[in-house]
Amino acid sequence: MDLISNLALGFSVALTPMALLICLAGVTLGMVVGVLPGLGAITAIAMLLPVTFYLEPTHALIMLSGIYYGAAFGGSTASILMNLPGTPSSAITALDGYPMAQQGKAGVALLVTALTSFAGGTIGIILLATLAPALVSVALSFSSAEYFTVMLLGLMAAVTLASGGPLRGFIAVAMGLLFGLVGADPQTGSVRYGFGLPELFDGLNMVAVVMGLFGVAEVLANIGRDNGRPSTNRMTLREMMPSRAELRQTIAPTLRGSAVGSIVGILPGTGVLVASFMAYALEKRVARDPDRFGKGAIEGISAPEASNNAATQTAFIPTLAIGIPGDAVMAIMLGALIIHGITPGPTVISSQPELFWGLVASFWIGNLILLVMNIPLVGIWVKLLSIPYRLLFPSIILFICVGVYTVNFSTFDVFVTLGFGLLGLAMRYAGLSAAPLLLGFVLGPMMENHFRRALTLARGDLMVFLERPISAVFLVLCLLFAISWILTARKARRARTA
Amino acid sequence: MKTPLLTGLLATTALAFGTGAALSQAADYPARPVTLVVGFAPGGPADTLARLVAQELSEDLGQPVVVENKPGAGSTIAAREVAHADADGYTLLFVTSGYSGSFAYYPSLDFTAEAFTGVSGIASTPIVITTGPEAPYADLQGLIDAARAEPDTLTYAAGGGGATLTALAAATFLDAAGLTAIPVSYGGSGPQNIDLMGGVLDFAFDTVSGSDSLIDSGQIRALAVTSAERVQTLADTPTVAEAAMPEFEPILGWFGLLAPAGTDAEIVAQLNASVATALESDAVLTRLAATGLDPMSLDAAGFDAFIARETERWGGLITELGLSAE
Repeated sequence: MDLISNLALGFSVALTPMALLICLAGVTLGMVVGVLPGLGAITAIAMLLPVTFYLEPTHALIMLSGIYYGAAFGGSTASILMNLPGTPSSAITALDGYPMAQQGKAGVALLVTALTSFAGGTIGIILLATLAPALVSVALSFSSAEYFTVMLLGLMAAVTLASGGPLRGFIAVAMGLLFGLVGADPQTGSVRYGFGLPELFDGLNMVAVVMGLFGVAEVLANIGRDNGRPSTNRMTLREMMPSRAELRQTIAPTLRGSAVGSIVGILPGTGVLVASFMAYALEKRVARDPDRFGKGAIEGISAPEASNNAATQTAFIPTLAIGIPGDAVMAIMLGALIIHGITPGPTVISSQPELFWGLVASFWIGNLILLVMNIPLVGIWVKLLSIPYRLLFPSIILFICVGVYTVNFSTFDVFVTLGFGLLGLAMRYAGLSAAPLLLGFVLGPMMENHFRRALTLARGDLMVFLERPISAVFLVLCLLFAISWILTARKARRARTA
Repeated sequence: MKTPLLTGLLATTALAFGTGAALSQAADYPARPVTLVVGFAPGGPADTLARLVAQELSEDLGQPVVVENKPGAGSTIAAREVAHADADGYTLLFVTSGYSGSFAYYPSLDFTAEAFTGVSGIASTPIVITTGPEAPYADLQGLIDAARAEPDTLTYAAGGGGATLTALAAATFLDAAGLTAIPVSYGGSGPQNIDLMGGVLDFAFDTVSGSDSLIDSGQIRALAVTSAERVQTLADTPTVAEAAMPEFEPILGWFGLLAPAGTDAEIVAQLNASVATALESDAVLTRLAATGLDPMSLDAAGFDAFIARETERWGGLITELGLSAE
């Protein structure tokens, strides 16, 4: 079998002591920066890039990708334990992970996260290894019209995942879209809603918005409720382990999430983020009792975690095979390849088999390292929860401020964070969820770009969204979402009048 | 996180000994870490080059040169900070060609070009005009003929919108060639290249580093570069002047180093020499070659004159086109 000999080649590269050491270093570093608010994978990778010039290309890529998924895992840890997501996709994990932690099931949540991430990553890797060449053409057939409609579907999914019904979700998404308008117009460059403040010319800083809406709002909401924490300080391995029933509950969501993630991850630019939102929304739709979501449903962490890890793997397809990076991290990795004289393109898999298959194998080893490393670490993470509020809260706020400041060295961003903290608090009182707002905020500017671009390319003909088949399918799915809301609402009304 | 604190402490210490130090400022330079302010987010091409140069400078100067990213507002947030910093050689600004247009594009800045003095050029790169693999035009002349035959029909992309050099180069080229075409706005190289490959977009303008790997692998085609001479990375691609328009005034994107105006001339000369040394190191040259950049060694006065010409050219065009951030 071709695949097996290829994978054997990959493991022979990735299992050398040097490669293992580099993978371990990358994953560990990634986890550390992922846990700290504000310091994301991009910053860590950018700072380490000069170091990788001195490594051979395969090792350089193994290290950078180790940081990448290590950071994703670290981000999930912080969102589960302290409702401090560093990125929009870990904000999804916070939706159910944080309630679980508060119910004393932090260990279970963390281990389920590690396990489902591993499973999702593995499924993504298998797809990457078997289908990469074929998937390239799928990615290329996506133009602006398709991007716009798939993001629209993402927003529809976001509306669904709000607690308290579609109308509230809709309001939150709309608020997010409005905040996303701030900054330079993508076509003309004129600044909108800038109020003459240069700090607003490029729009609101995403890290500041996330940290405010989740971290600061959480702290504010809990002030004065210092009745000590549920005692979680002494955890045995048995208590951290998910029960059999819990494990069984995660299997189907993990598979569904991986499927969604693998497909959506191929799209450069949108993949990983939209993947976790869609996986969550899908779970909530298929669940027999959707009300449990947002209150510590185990499916609510396993599906999006599997999904974003699968997407992270398949996101390498456009980067390696077409040479078009999906996001800033991928762009840096692409730069690292080019520095080493490797030209990405459809031929990279056949011309650089050691590099490609070595990377594939190291993904798997890296994910395994994360899983193994975290079994003992979970106990330490969970101890964080036994810190009394009066010490924990000020430190969280301090970490958030320092973290946000270091992104752009901007004090303005710190105030943006605090402002969004107040907004997040107000939204809680009004029964609005922050996650849909966040997705609207992140996707809004991208959707505007694709919408205007699709229309310019079609010379202003709106029918372009229906004439392109893939785009039309996404629009039909959006319509189905809308119909299902109306049906649910009517059923609810009938139940009330009856 | 540690670095600003450290710099702060050192700055305080330096202040305490300030009066005595002023006399021998140039002789002692650099006595403490130097901050290199970069107006771009970590990880982009400008930041990567800045970090590499900073590393070489650190070795040559014997003091750490610390990169501080202050992205935003077309990198004028970074420029503003350096404009208001002490002219002691410890705060430097890493600039790109976008700097020359920023005074025209952001009319309400509270500083002018007078606030800076040039230290050195670092590298330059042309804009490349590209098309899809199956586009009907064989060369630049073919594209010009096709666009003239059907005015306002072909679509083109020119990187991010606004007053980026790519967009200004596109405007200059279309005007010089007497063409009209439909501009399509893309965030950057990646998305516009996907549409070139997919045949959705007719032609595009891009930085060499954004497109050269795709050109190498034959996924898109390069029609011409806007520099006066061909570039190393795209040796087979003719210049605009060779391909179709002999009178075309060359366009270059560039990277350079500025200091606050009033910085001691000896310090500027020392920094200039350090950059020149860095531009001879293998690490920098490999990096430049890999990203389609040519080293740009200029003495401080020469770089000042270069920036003045650039500011006049692009500032004038921005005003003429009526572009403004406000």
